[in-house]
Amino acid sequence: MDDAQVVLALEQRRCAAIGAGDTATLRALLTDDYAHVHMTGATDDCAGHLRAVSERPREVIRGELTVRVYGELAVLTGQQINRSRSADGSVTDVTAFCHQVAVKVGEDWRFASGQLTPMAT
Amino acid sequence: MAYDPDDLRRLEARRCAAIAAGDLASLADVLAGDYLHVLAPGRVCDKAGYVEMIGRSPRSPKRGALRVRLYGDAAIVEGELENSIGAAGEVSRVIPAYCTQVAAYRDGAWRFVSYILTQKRPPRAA
Repeated sequence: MDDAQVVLALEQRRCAAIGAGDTATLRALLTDDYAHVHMTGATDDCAGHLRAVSERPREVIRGELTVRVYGELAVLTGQQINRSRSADGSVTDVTAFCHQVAVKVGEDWRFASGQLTPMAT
Repeated sequence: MAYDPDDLRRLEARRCAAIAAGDLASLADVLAGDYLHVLAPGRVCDKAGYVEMIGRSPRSPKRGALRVRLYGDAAIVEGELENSIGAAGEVSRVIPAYCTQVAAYRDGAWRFVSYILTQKRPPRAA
């Protein structure tokens, strides 16, 4: 696999980890200095992001993704739907555009940044 | 090659100054050919589209402290951004936001390759 394919596989693992509420796996995919920007413009560090995922279960659905690689850094962009289910079974979808930055840590790629901005639907 | 994080802060200062002055040539000079810009409503435009938008929609961006992280010949730049929309003296609204940018060092210069802006909003009620 080339670097772009590795980063796409990393994103698949991230989405699967969030959907499963598996914050241990999610943690392993993020750098220690990971920075997350929510759709409200509020920011979180790695620990804060893991806490948010744990407290608010969701399914992450991605559309077509674009990956651009700049040596040890890659930019991944595309639409993201955050799907949550309430106790009565109703489903709420929130659509955003997501800009992620993955970086090479040793032989592995990890996400160093993720930022969402709500899409006008 | 060891880079100075302040070079990225100076690059962003040039970008902001070019936008505030409506200097589209200087703005184009700090953006890579494959530049991708994500506007607050999640709309994406390329370099030409972004420069054209700035030409017809004057604004003045103001940055706070910037966090810079370097990875080889690329860097992540992030921090608060306040966009004053309108020409100087005719500002119609001020938008507080958070911005993440990526820059790459190619052909002897740093240029931005991507940008995303998220407007600050109060969190939704639980």
